[in-house]
Amino acid sequence: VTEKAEQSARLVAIAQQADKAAFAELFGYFAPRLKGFFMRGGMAAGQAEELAQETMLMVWRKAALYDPAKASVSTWIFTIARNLRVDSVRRERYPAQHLLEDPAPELPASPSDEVLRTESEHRVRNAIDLLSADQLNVIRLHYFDDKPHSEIAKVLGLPLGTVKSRLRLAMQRLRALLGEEQ
Amino acid sequence: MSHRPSDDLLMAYAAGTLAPGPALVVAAHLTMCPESAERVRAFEIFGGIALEDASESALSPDALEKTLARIDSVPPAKVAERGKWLAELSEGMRLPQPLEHYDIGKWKFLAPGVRWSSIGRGGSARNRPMLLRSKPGMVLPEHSHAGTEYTLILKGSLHDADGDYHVGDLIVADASLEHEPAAGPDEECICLAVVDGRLRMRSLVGRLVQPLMGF
Ligand SMILES: [Zn+2]
Ligand SMILES: [Zn+2]
Repeated sequence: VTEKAEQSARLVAIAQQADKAAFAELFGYFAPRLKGFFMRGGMAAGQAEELAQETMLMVWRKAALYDPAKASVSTWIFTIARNLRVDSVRRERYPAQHLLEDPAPELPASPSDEVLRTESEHRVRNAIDLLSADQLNVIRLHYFDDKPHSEIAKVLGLPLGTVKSRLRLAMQRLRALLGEEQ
Repeated sequence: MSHRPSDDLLMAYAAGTLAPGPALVVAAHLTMCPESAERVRAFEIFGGIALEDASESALSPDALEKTLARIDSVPPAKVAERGKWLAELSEGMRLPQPLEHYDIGKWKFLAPGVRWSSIGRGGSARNRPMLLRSKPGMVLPEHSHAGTEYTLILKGSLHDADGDYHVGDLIVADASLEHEPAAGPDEECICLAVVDGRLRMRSLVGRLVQPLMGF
């Protein structure tokens, strides 16, 4: 059993049996990373810890909305963390809720659909894996840590122009790896 | 041809760094465009990987205990209230799901044949999203933008010197653009629009209308 499948099973156990031991396992893995993730985004340690706990609390409360066929646990928790981070700064509900709301009543997915959907996270992960460490890092810094070009230049000790072109090339490469749908 | 937002915009949306007004327009667009929705899912997976790879920062020793204690005491999640539907829409028309939680104001005069209505209450009035509703063939006042303008077509079509836009298309007009979009001749056009920055009306009617819109 892979770590991913294990995490998925734990989240489902929380939803179905209010399993606190499963929650403690997920907490042990994700809470320190969440705190680190928020701090990377410029948050002070105290607030980052508070928000990491808040995120895990939300994981517990929203566990029933998690659909293993739609996303890995990391991706799902990331969307919760992202929304809470925005809310804590802006006091307005971030409108990106598609992994966090009751699914619209739709036809039950056929098993082959589910295979297709989990495969698609797999496929995207493989694509992202092919980015160089530098490309990965510059995308992270700019989008996920919300750093302006000038600050990235300072952090990486690179000229501003190099940062801009590296980011542009990284996004181009990512687009090519994910496949252009036109 | 379809008008899809750039990867840059979708990545900012997925990462949570897009301002609330444009984020709402993108969220509505995603319910109408499977290709963009797929791209956002991919970028959220990127976020999941960023979270896995984030360096671990130790929490206080009692963090788990504290969180477990709160589990038992928290009330169930509030269900967001539905917005009030002050603005009547055309027969049978439904707004995209992300707009359902927002209050929609009364339709107000903007230009001959064109009305507008604000959405939501939060943030500064100037960056608040609005619905624009134009009778067939009517022209929105010529204007330019001090900031980027995001327009999502919800009904009908829109045409300007650069192209034709249809239901689900998201038009991103940057500050350099000066345009005078018109609704298609056959049907009224309803769109969701937000300007990140000031809107500058050029025509006389535009300048008269500007103060009314609170820009
Ligand atoms: Zn088109
Ligand atoms: Zn415009």
